[in-house]
Amino acid sequence: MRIILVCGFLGSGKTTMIRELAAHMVRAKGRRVVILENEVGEVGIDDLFLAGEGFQVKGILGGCICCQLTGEVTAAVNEIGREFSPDAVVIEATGVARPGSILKVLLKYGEGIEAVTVVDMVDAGRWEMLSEVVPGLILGQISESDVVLVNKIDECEDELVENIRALVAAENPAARIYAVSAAQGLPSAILEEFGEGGEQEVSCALSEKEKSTPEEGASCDA
Amino acid sequence: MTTANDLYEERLERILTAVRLERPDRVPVVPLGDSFCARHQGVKLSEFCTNPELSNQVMLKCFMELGEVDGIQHTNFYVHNLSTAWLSRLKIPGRDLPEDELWQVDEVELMSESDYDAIINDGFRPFIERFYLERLDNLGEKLPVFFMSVPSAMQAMKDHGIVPFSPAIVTIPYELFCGGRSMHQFLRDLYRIPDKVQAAMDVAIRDMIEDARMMCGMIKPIAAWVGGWRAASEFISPRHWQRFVFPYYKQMVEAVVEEGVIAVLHFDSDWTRDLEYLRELPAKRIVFSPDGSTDIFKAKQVLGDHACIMGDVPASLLSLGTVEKVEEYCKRLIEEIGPAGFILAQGCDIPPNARPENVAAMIASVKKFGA
Repeated sequence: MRIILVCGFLGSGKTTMIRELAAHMVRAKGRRVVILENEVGEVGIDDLFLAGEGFQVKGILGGCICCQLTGEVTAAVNEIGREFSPDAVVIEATGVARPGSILKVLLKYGEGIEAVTVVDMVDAGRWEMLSEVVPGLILGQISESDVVLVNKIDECEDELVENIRALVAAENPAARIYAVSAAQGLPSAILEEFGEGGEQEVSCALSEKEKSTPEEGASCDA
Repeated sequence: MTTANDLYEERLERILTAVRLERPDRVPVVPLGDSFCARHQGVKLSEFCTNPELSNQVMLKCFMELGEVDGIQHTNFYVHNLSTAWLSRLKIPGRDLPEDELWQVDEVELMSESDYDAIINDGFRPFIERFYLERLDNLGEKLPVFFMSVPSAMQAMKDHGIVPFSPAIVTIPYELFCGGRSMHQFLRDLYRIPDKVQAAMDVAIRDMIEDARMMCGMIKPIAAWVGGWRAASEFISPRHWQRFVFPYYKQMVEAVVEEGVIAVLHFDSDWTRDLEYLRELPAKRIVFSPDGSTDIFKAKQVLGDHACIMGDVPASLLSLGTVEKVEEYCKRLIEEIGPAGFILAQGCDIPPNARPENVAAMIASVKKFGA
């Protein structure tokens, strides 16, 4: 079972991206896909729409009580694996989540996970504001991702998009970076990357993540 | 024969010794569990979260069955209280959700940009009264049920020899405005109209402190939760944190302490970057209570001679881990953060799907490793 963990600040385009990606994986590739939603706020996946498309959608709670739910994503993934045996689970993380904290628990307690890819949606339209007010969150999400989609480029000057790409690359040199406008459709290269199994490649990524993910409870090495 | 009152005094002294950063006879354990307790006792969340008296009985019964706790952080639970800390509506089990699903904050934009002007021009209290009435479905009418239940809930715990540790909850304007405006709108406000936001915060904090003082005077708690979640260092820039967050915590904590009440910094998410600032808060009258995200061992290094530390068995360890792993982590906490100036607890709150045997192992670990 492959996990695609999609993070990014509130309103960055996670839902749009997930809808398109999941549709491609199901329709073009015949994959069995379950979407796990864990967003806060008013933006969320329209369960009815997706039910109409034939996907499985499971929601878990967001809001203030996410501290109670750090194990909930993993418990839900394990349950999904047992119940549906999907090829892939796409997790929409809350907009205030650092993927590393979800991965830490997922990799420790998750069952049947063969590969994990972390995708970060960067909101180019609000880059200036977000990078000034919440830089730790935005850069943290970038640095802990495998793929970074610089989204909403149709709202920005080309120069700004290039600047963002350069900053993302500096923050996470290993990340695969794409500049997109998800609302107008994802480029085929991205759809193919996720539509294919990619197990060999991402399994390596998984073992690297296992090596670099800290143990339960933070530790001070000083 | 040891009476409940003897036990209460013994346990209270154990906790207060830890807060004074001295070494108690053993490390105290003071958990918090709301939805977990309901699940453990087979009580539907819809009933538990709307009946403060029932929630008190359920918490007491749950923790007494699971071991010997020195105190319990909250005396009872009432779901509508969450709206006072978030300025948000809630999805409530039995009303908006299935009867046994966990309540959640429905974080949408209820507060408008013009509300900052209303606060600045007319004051915070008139604003909040109108807000409760018009935008939170007459919240003010629902709250007395809870406040009237707190004294008897505290007494019920004392009658069982258990310390009702921190039944009062306060926070700062940042958290209220962030919840009321919704996070993405609020961050936009901090970027576009920072002076106006700050002016509204300066007005709001005065009334919020007055309310906190009044609550401390009425309830006379041993400690009060000073809560922080979206104001965490991991989210916002140092410049914004130093301007919009810390000065308000400082005022609130100092006011709570002046009332003779211990301030429990119930801080969710990662505050590691700004631990040094917490040394400006009153020494030996505060408890730093991280949720498992802040580096608690770093916190010990920075705050160990200044603040008691409480925590931080992670929610995921309690729900997905084994008894052996829970014991291993508790032992490490007791030995490295304690034994002086430390209270063992979960990080944040015990999650609803925690394994009872893991919670029992956490509680028992203070006797096993904490003497």
